[in-house]
Amino acid sequence: MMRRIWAVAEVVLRGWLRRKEAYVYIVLLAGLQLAVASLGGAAGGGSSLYLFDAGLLLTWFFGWAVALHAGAAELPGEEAHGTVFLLLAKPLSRAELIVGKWLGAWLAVTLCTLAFYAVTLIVAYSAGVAPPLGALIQAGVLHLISLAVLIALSLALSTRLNRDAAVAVAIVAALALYLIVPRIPQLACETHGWRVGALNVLYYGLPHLELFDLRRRVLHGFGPLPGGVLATLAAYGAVWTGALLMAAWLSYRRRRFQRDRLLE
Amino acid sequence: MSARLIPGLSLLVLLTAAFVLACHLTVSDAAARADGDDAGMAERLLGGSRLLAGELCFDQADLYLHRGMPHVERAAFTNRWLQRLAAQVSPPVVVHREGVEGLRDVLPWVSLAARFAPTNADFVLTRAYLLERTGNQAAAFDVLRHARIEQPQDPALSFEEARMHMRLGHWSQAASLLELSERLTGPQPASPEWVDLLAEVCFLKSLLQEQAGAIGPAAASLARAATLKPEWYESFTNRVADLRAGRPPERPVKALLDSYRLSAQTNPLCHHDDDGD
Repeated sequence: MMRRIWAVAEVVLRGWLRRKEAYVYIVLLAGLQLAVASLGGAAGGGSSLYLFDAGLLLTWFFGWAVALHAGAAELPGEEAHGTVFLLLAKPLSRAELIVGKWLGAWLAVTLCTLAFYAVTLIVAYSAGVAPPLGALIQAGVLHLISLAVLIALSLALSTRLNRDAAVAVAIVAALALYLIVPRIPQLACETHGWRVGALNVLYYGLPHLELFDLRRRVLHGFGPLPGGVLATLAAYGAVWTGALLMAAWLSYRRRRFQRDRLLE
Repeated sequence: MSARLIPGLSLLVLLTAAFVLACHLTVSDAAARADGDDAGMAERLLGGSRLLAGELCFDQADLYLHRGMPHVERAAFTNRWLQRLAAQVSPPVVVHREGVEGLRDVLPWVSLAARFAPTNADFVLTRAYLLERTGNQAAAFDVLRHARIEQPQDPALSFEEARMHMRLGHWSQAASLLELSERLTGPQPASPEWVDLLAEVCFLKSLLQEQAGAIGPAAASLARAATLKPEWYESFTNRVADLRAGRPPERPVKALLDSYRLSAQTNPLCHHDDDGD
């Protein structure tokens, strides 16, 4: 089973490496960081920590953008090209196909994100910032776990939506999860009755992406997380990834494909 | 992975480049227009978004001052498992960045805010203060002088420059800038903030006048300060009476000037209580 999953993942990874899109993203990220650095004259006498902050934020943003696209592009791509019939004709279950696609997309996005971190670190070091490496490595690991959750989310959406719709819904969902879900306790102050209960359910029932964001610890010198907390967060991310992949499989396992309709 | 992401991200890069260019243009454009009424190049290109970016950078400076801790808001429930986990990831403690190094980390955000919105006096004043505290007095004076070209009618800018001169013991420059500030405020200040500002101008002016031996004008300035700011009235009444009677006041002017210079070392950036505001 693992061999079949890995075979699918390898195809995804190779296809991604062949398209060489990552270079473009890296150049764009470096360009943005240089644009921010060009305002450095305004900092006159200040430290360059702001530049590292902007770099980390851009790395987060680019990582998420690439992950949401990568997750949403795979299954609709196979359907659009008609190659889904070749895949399903092989001794490959739909669960293996889903997990293989997820794994391949995650590995591709991981390589891309590590390159983003490398660019950010080079810019930071050249500006005289010495990031705390322990906390930064933890931040990178948790970032990759959040990307695993997001890829699973967009993959699950792409089992029922076309690629563009899946990307759009996934972006809105990811932003809501990151910006609104952590504020549910504050929002609940403004309401009464059953709505408070409903907000409680949402608070526990939706993934908390902000838990994977360690930028404050890195930038403001709070040091690395205790090992137990890191393991808890990794398990939390793994549970959500598993749940979303399960949802993707449930949605995809009985889906029928008609060649003439797909290739229209 | 989709190549469709590339045009969107390229657009983001181009927008950022345009924004940065516009902010560079604002600085050179500001010096060219002394009247301050005409819209700047950046304003024509980007309008209010530049001011919003300034506000965001200033908020970021506040966040840096508190080491990334946002202002605490009332919550319907606390101490849930996920909240405890979030508190371990991002400790909810109110701590300030301290020392010159801490202020150096805050300074770039304030500088960016002032660069994006050069007409916002708060940003400019905070930038000048941080530059001074981080030992860059010349740059602080430059910022204030430039801001006075940008906004020649704002008395707060000349007042801040006067205070900086006072902290450095440049009495004559301070006196002339206080005069300017008083003139710009006018006999009938336009807002409560300007009333407070005029009271402080009068107070500092009285100290400088007293130090220069002009006791009569010093007493008049101090009496005016007490009238403008009723909470000062009680503490200043005796001093005004002493000056008018030719008696040496309870606290000599040198001690007052020294304590003023020391009080300027406290942190005026943060006005919350440390109990979780």
